[in-house]
Amino acid sequence: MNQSVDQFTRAPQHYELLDGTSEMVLGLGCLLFSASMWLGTEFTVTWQWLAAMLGGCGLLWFISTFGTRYIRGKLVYTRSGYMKTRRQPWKPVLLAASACAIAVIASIVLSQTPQSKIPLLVSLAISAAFLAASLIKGVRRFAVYAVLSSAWGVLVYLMKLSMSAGMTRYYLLLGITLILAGVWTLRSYVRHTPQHNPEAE
Amino acid sequence: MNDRIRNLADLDRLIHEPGRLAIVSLLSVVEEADFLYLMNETGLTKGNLSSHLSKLETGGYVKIEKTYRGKIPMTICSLTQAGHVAFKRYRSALKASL
Repeated sequence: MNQSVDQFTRAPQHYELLDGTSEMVLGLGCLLFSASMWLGTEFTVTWQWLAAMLGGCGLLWFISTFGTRYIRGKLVYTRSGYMKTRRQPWKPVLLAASACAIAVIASIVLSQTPQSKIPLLVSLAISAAFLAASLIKGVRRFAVYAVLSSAWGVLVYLMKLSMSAGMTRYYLLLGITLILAGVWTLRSYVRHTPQHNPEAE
Repeated sequence: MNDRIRNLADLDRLIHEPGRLAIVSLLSVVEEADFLYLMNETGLTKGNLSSHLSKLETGGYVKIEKTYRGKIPMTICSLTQAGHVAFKRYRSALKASL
C-alpha cells in the first residue's frame, strides 16, 4: 500500500473505465452518427428520418444508462466492488460550455477547410481528445484509440471520398473499433478478475 | 515550538494511520463504495479493513450501511460531513507542515 493520497483520490476515475463499457457506448454513438450521415446523404430528410434519429438517440441513452448498469451489476461489482462517483454540480455546466466552445471553433476551422480534408481533421481532433483522456485518466489503451482514430482518418482521406461519405466511413470504422475494443477489455477483465466470494465483512 | 512542528503534532491521529488515510482518501472522492471495492483499492485484508472502518465509524467520519444486492450481503461505506471536513483539515495541516 505504497500509493500516495493523490493516487487514491484518482482511483475512482480509473475504475470507471476499467470494464470497457464506456468504449462500447462511445462506439455505439459513433455508429449512430455514421448512420445519420449516411441516411442524410442517401435519402431526403423527412419526419420519418428525424423520428428514426430521435429513436436512435433514445436507444443510445437507454443502452448507456441501463446496459452499463446491468453489465456492471452482473460482472464488475461482484468481482472488484461497487462504488458510485460523487456528482459535481459544476461538471455538466463545464461540459456544456466546453462543447459550445469546441462547436464554435470547429465550425470556424471547418468552414475554411477543403471539404475532402474534413474527415481527416475530425479524426485528428478526436485523436487529440483520446490522447488527453489517456494522460488525464491514466488509461493507456486510450492512446491506442488515438493512433487508430488517426489511422482511420488518413485511410479515409486517401480514399478521396466526398465529405459526407468520408465522415460516414470514418465514424463507422471508429465505432466498430471502439465496440470491439470495449468487448475485448470487458472479456479480459472478466477472465483476469475472479468472482468475489462474499463472507462476513 | 516551531509552527510547522506544531502543525504536525496537531494532525488528526484517526486519519493519520496509513490504512485509514487510504480509506478516507478513497471515500472522499466517491458518494459511496462497498467493502470489496475498498479492500481491492487499499490492499488491506478483510480483518484490517473491518477494524479501520469500525474506528472511523466510531469517530463519526464514516457511515456504514449493511444491505443486500439480491442475496449477496453488501457493506456500503460513505464519508460523513464531519469526515470530509476532517480530511480537508488534515490535508491542509500536512501541507502546511511540509
